Amino acid sequence: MYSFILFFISIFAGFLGSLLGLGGGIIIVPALTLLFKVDIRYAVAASLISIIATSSTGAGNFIKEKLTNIRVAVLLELGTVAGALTGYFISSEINAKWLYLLFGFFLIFSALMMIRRRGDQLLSHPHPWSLKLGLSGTYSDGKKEPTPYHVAHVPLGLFSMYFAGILSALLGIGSGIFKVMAMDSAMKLPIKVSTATSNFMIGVTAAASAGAYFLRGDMRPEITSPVALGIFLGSWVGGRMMTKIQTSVLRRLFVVILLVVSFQMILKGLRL
Amino acid sequence: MNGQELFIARFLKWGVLISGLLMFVGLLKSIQISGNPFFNFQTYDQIPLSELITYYTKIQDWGTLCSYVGLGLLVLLPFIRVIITIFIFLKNKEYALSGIALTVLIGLIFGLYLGFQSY
Repeated sequence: MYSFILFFISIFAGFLGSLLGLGGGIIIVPALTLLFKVDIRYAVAASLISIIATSSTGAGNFIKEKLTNIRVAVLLELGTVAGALTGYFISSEINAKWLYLLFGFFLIFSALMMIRRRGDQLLSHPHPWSLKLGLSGTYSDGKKEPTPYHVAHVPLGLFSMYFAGILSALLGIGSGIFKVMAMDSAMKLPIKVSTATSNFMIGVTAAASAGAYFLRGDMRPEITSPVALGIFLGSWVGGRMMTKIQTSVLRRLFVVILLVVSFQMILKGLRL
Repeated sequence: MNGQELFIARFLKWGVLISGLLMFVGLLKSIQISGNPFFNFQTYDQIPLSELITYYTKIQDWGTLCSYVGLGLLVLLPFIRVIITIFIFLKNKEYALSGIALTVLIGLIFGLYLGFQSY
């Protein structure tokens, strides 16, 4: 019975995640810890698996639509993988109390990021590293001609990805919100490209610590199988309904849910 | 590079399908309808994967073992994706990017090594 409930929550997480461009981690970890009282370290490991599933499922569509910039993704993965390894080291030393508190504050940050106004600020001159590695690209936003874009502040982007990697390994999240923010605000990538590229990257970021968690025995099929299967189904349905659903209403509702859950996580952390 | 990018997309799609199928079969075989299957996970107890596999093999719990194969495949997908990227960049003579992808792969392998260290 409990496995079925977790499966349905994971479908919801995958569905919402695909509609709002998130990994399911920010729903799965609170659900496992607050509802099922699972220790946060098992929850983090299960969540990392869901992120790999979300990323691998979504990547196909984004690549076909020519939105993913694989060159930018590979370069930024340097930062996220280094960060994820650092995060894994910290995870074995940090107290569960601090994980709850950090997660709670990250959820508040995510809620604030979801209500901010976003707009493309395309660049006319690329960063020298971007020129050297050929990072500029084009994307289609419904117009007949593809829109060209360049990449700015590459070192700042790499540095931001390092912190995104630490958060990912510590909290079992894809930290997609953080990655998208770094790509569209600092590196001036178009929003659609930064969302697709972030989705492509979160799988590798999660894998950097997921491999270690898997061998350490923290990934238990009793928890991870319903989560992965639910996320897989939810993101598949969400992807097909993307054009039929008004995401702005959903986004506002999700911000409220995030804020409520964040306070619960902080309260739980303070009680430990 | 478009055809090569589509190859990555197809590879990921099939990888997810196969690992999902293995986990689904495993879950069907070992699912607990009554009781709380998460009760044992309310406190953290670190048991290395090798010990868990030995235990489930001993009690012949093929469902859980099947789930572990699916899980392992899913964890490996990003590793294989990075390896494919290295070869694509090499084929296109983009040596700087293939070197960067190789460094990412070394980082991922180091992550696995950290997991082995917990044994």
